[in-house]
Amino acid sequence: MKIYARLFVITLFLFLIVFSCKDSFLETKPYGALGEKSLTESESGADAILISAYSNLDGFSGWDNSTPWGGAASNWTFGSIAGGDAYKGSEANDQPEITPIELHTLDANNPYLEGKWRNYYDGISRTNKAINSFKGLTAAAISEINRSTRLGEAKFLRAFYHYELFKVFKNVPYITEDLLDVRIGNDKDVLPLIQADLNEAVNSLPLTQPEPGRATKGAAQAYLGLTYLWQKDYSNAKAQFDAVIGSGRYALDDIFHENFNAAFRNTSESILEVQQAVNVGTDDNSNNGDVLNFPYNGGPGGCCGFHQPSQNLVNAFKTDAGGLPLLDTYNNTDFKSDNLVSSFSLPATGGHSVGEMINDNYSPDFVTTVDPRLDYTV
Amino acid sequence: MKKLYIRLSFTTVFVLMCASLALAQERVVTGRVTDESGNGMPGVNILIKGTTQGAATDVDGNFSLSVPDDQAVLVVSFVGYSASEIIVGSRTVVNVPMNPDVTTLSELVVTGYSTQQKKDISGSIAVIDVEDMTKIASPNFADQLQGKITGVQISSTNDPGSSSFVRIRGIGSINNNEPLYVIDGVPVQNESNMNFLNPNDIESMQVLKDAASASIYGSRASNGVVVITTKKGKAGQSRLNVEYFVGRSTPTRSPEVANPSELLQISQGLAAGAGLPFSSNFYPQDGNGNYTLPDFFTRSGGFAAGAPEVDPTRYNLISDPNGDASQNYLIAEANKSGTNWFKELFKPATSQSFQLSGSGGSEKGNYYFSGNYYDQNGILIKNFYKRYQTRFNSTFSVKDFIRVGENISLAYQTTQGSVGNPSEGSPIKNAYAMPQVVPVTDINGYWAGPAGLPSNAGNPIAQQSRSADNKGNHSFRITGNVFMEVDILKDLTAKTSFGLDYNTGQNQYYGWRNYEATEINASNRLDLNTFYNRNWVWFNTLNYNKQFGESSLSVLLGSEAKQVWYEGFNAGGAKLALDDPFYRVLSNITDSKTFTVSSYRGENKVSSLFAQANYVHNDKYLISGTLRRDGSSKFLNNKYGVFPAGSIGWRLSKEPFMANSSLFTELKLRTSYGATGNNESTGANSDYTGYSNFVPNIATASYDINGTGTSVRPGFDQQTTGNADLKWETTTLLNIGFDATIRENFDITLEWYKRKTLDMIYGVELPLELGAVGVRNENIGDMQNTGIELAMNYRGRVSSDFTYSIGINGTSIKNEVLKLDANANTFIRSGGSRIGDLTYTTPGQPISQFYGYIADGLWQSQDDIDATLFNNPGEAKEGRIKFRDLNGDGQIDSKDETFIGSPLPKWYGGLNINMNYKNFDLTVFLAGSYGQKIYNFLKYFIDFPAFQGNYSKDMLYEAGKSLPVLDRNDNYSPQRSSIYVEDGSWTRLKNLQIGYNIPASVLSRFKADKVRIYIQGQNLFTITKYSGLDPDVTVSNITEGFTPRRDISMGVDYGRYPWARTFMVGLNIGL
Repeated sequence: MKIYARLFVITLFLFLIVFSCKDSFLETKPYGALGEKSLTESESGADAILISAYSNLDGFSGWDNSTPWGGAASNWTFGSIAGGDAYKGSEANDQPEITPIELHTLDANNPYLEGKWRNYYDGISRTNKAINSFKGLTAAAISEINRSTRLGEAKFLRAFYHYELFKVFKNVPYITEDLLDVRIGNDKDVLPLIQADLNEAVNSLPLTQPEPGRATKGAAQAYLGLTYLWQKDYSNAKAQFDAVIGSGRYALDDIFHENFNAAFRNTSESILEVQQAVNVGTDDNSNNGDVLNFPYNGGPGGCCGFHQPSQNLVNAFKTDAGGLPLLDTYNNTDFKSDNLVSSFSLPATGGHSVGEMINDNYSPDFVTTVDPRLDYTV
Repeated sequence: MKKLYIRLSFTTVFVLMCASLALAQERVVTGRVTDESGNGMPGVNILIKGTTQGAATDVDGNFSLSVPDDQAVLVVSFVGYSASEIIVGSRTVVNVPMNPDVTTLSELVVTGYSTQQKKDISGSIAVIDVEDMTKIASPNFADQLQGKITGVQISSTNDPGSSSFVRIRGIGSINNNEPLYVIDGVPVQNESNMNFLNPNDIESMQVLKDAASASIYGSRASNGVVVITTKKGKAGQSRLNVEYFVGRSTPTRSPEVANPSELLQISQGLAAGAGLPFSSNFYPQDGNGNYTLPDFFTRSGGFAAGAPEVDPTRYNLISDPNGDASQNYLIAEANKSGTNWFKELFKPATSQSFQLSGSGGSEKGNYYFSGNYYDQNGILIKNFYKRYQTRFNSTFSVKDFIRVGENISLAYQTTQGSVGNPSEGSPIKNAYAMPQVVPVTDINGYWAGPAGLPSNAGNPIAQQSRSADNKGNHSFRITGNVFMEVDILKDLTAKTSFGLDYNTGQNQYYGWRNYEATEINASNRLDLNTFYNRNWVWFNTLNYNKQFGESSLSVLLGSEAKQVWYEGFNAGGAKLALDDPFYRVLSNITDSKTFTVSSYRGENKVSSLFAQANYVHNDKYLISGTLRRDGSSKFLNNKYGVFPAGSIGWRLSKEPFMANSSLFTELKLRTSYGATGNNESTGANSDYTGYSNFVPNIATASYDINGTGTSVRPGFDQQTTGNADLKWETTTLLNIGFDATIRENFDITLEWYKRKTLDMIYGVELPLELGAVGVRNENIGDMQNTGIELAMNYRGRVSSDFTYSIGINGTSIKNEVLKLDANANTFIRSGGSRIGDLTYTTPGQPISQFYGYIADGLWQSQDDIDATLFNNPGEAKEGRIKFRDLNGDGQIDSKDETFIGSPLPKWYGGLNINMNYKNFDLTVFLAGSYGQKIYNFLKYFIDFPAFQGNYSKDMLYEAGKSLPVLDRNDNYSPQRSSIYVEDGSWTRLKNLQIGYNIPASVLSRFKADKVRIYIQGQNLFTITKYSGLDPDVTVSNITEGFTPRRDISMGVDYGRYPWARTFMVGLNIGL
């Protein structure tokens, strides 16, 4: 009897264990992270996704990507270097992948292409998630005006990111929020799709936003104009640009170089600025796409002397007698002398004084007229 | 457990009753137990059959014991000897001669949650000879086991305290391949560093190799299971053991690299080859315009003694960590005869181990305790591992049917100066690449560096010395369990066990300013990482054992729940005002902008039910079946998996037709088939594979939407992509084998198996158009391993004074990836390097094959280039490496790359010889691995001009012969090709030990049971053609924990920690 009692107790015990370890024991959830669902039930959650979509505007989506500088907001590789405004700079064996970009001989393996592609499709992916979030919010969770504005911002960003890709890759897959499978062809002209998104943004965005980083109607119109310009559709382009100017929101800065001075942000001249921030615990928000472009070894920033202005860029500042740029002939002769060189107190090198160097190597050019902004550019 | 089994096998309620009735007639029996040569045997267990009463023999083999009556049966047992049963009868003196149990057939084997006699096993289980294993001095059993067992491939990094690579029956998956270790019932999973377990505490160890044996561990068993039990005390024997050894390790290899003049010649040759004039700030020109070695040098170049640039009064080293680094002015004296960086970096090192253990017990309980101090110093300077460990195991019989007990081990471990994964920046690579003209220290004793030369190698001595200041890498690990066993019926036992594995520790990293380096680190930095890992497991089993004459049945039912929990905290920052080691706390960080703080936390759980039945019919026919159902929290929609297995065996030697065979003492045929699982997965999301996570990552998702310039608003972005339908990897294994003992002294075991893994889990890269949303774990592929294992052991006897045994084992495995996804051409590249990924995994080939061009010597003429590469010669030039145009399209491109070698050995094995002559014993142990290749990636740095630094002597003397002609611009020759691939076969004398046992006659005067002294040599020689520091490469990165790409990037040598030759003396005292 005693033995059966023992047996019974132990068996019961085992069964208890078996059944106490039912499914709930195996339900674990990640710590420190949210599921998509919990983010898409409130306006602030949806906006957190939209903020992450904005964060790709800096073109730098993290060190995990093979070469994170290919997407830089300034477009220094695919813009200035490919376009001739700048040379690659630094040493030959440092970032040799930029050389083919400069020489227009790049192949599909170039990691800068991947960097560009990754960052902007990452931005598109986030934008699409933001669009779905704002669309899915109940009327109680968000006002219609806010929904419309945020959707406008997202459409603007989606158009912007595709346009960035279009500039480098031309026909690219146009990824929208409703696609279940992103593996679609790239056989279509994407400019009309970009323009459709921008038109929606123009229609739903306000002229001004309380937060200066957000896209406005003016930004959407300016970009729409830019796409028309690409198509050489000058009348439509002009209509958009006229609308931007006519809004009365924008004016040229009084001092040209404030545009490039970190102390001046979101001035009256800026239509949309990529917002950079320092001292926030990571360098990734502080224009890191251009981190290689400090002066060559030893200068401030400590690295690396890429993106050096080209003679071509200097020549582009030449003007005619009336002060207007030379559109076709600017590059026929090089504008070599720097009229300000004698005003710097350069140290003597190689046994020559500065004066001798000027005599030897420079014949100051006091004849050619240039746009004075040259001095703040090169 | 042995005691328990004996009891379960022989006890009957009837006998118990008889015994208690007969108590009144008790009387005393004395006697002596002797071994095969007639010497008294101390410590032999004598038990009255059917009771817990017993005694043990003293030093001379004498015993004395009360017996209830004349019918009492004495069961006399001792490890390694056949147990004998003696009816007392009317005798008062019972002398017992013992015979060695040559077949060890009745040996109990722990097969998981239960035990089985060796003869009854029909699965594939390797039983480790622990005493033999621990003859190799190492803090971890994996090192000791290399080459000892068939089917188990082991490699370690030589780096003290580091992890090991253990693969049972091949590489089963592109995913995780770590075996499951079960220590006293506590599973230690996904762990490659077993240093916390003191091998001297191990009582028994078995490797469950086939699915039939391992499937009792279900979802974690597909990589094989190593079942370990730790020591217990024995009734009636109080023992005290003291073990000590001290050893000295010496470096063995010192590669030939260019001396200062040779480097100058190479540098000039490189410029000339490129058609460039040689110019250098470092090498001053003499009166004839010839470049010479400088007397002194600074960051800006080299100078003759007396030059104003190297005037010692100009020397300046800034002390303020926040000062302007450009104010430094360091001057070093050139070492014209050359600094041998290997000799500076690798020095003889002394290691020692001290162990004290005690055990004892009575029928009411037993105990075992040990304390161990292990101090292992690497031959790499400033590099050590220390372990302070203690264990206490005890068992108590509370009632005659209830036993309770516990096993607990506490280990404090600390390491310093570990190299970790070999990498481009490691001191070992820098010992190759640091020019010899640089001295260790500069004129004022600060570290000297190659700034001034074209070289960006770091000073390896400085690196090691600086990392030695990080006295912060330590961990404290508690492992153990408490258990209770209840005999519910005489054949039915219930057991419950709660186990814990708690590991906590901290790593400190202090980054020094290194002003001597070419690329300086201008500020110091302190980082601290703290971790807490807590795993518990609770299992309950019911075990039924019944003997029917020659037949027996055992049934096991059980349930188990387990949780793995981990969390950690990281913080760091830069610019401490002082570099003093005692100043290193986070509060002293002066630059708050450099603060980084992060933490993490996670868990996974498993709950399981399992059943096993073993039936032995007539001691001849063996049949076993196992079923385990596991539920895992790692999966969302497919939480549960069922893993069945079965095995059958036939002991032919018990059949009448063989009973009289004098040839076969034992012959058993067996086969098994079953399924096991693997629930590991990859990526940041490995414990939550079903979920897509959104994280407010400040670097990648936040944005200064307010335009403040100094703050950001956090955004959430998706970092992982869930796969709700992910399921287990399933491994099936078919095993066929036989065990034979021929003429009582020759054992042979031969096994063949086919192991197939289905639904391998891999973190699949998603289309880039989905954004950076991590990898998605998917069940993508299949893999197969087919292997043959042969183990033979011969025990010889020249005379009663002179016995020996020779054991040899070999394993051959053929690995093949069957499928990676629906597309048969899918491949995975891994083994990243400066020349791209070096390994290639694709269906139809073994895992992790080297991939690249075939190098056919050098291009001998421009005509040859024009004729061969008619389409596009590319950068091919006379004197550069001639890559084979495999597809004959007249150009070299990626289509010409092919398989150029395999890191998998064709076979591996070991040879073990033991001899005993009188009081002397000798052990010789050789291990080897054959047919594998090594990708010697270090050649990229030292045989080619790709990087500026020091180069090999070959680069100078073999230029234009086996290596390309010197040419600074030659980036063509170093492309990935067969020129890097070398034969990696090796044979190593792992151990040679000569011991002497002090005779018992001497010992009895000191009341000691046993005193053994020995001298030993480890790794006395290695036979290999490989030119690197150690051919035992196997995996390039043996990191702590699991790296998903480990097994798909095998065999690449990025600069491995070299092996050392060690001489030791040791002393064991048993009281």
